[in-house]
Amino acid sequence: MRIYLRYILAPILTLFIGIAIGKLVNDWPKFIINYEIKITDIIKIASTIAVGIFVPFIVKKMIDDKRSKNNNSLDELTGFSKTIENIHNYINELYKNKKIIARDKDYLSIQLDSSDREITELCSFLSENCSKQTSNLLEEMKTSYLNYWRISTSIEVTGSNVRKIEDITFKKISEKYTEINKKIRRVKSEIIKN
Amino acid sequence: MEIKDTIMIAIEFGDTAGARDYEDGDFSGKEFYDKFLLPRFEKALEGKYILLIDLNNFWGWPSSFVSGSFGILSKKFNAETVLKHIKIKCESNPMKEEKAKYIIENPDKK
Repeated sequence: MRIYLRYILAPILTLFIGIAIGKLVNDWPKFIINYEIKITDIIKIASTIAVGIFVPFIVKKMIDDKRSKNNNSLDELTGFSKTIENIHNYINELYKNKKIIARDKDYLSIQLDSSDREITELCSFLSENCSKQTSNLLEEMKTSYLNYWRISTSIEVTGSNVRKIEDITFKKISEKYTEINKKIRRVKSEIIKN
Repeated sequence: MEIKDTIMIAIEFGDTAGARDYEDGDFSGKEFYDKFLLPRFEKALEGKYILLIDLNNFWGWPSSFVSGSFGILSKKFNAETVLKHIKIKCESNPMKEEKAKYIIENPDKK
C-alpha cells in the first residue's frame, strides 16, 4: 500500500499539480497600468477619501454635541428643581414650627423672585434647544410653577394676620409642589428620550 | 392701540408689594387697585389706549397683591378687556409679567 502511494499516486498528483500551476501561470490575468489619469478620477478618489475620513468624524461630533446639550439641559433643570426644593423645605419648616413672621414672608418673596429668574432663563435656554414636545412640557411646567407661586404667596401665607401656616394651606402647597416636581421629571425624561 | 399712560409703580405707589387687603398693611393690592389701577384703567378704556404698568424696581410680587389688584380688575371688566388695555413690563424679571397675566386670565382659580 505504501509502495503504491509512493511510486504511483504521488507522481500522478505531482504531475497534475504541475500542470495546474503551469496553466494558472499561463492564463494569469495581465494588468496594464495606464498612467493617464483624468482630473475627475482624482476628484473622485479625493472625495471618497474625504468622505471616508470626515463622515464618521462629523457624526461623532454631532452625537457629542447633542449629548453635551442634553447634559446642560438636565443640569439646568436639576438646578431649578433644587431651588424649588429649598423653598418648599423652608415652607415645610414654617409649617412644622407653627410660626410665620414678616421676615419669613419676605424671605419667601426673595426666593421666589430668584426662582422666577431661574425658570425664565431655563425656559429660554431649553426652548432654543429642544423639540416641540419638550416645549409643550415646558409650558406645563411653567403653569405648575405659577400655581405653586400662587398658593405659596397667597393671602393664607402672606396676610399680615397670618401667624402660622394652616394644615389646609400646607396641604395645597404640598400638592402644587408635587405637581411641579412631576412636570420637571417629565421634561427631564423627554430630554433623555431625545 | 398705542400706549398713552404709564404707571411707574415703584415711583408712584411704593417700592414694595404688600399683601391683598387694606387690613393686611401698607401697599396692599387693594390700595393699588383703588388709588391707581382702577382710575387709570377706566381712563384708558374711555380713551381707547393702552395703560403700561412698569414694574421695574418694584420689590416682591406675591399672588395676594396681584389678586387684590389685577384679579379684581379682571373680575370687574373680564380678562380679555383688561389684557387689551393693559401692558405689564418688568425688564429685570419678565416672569412677573406672566404672573400678572396668569392672575388676570384666572382670577377665580384657587
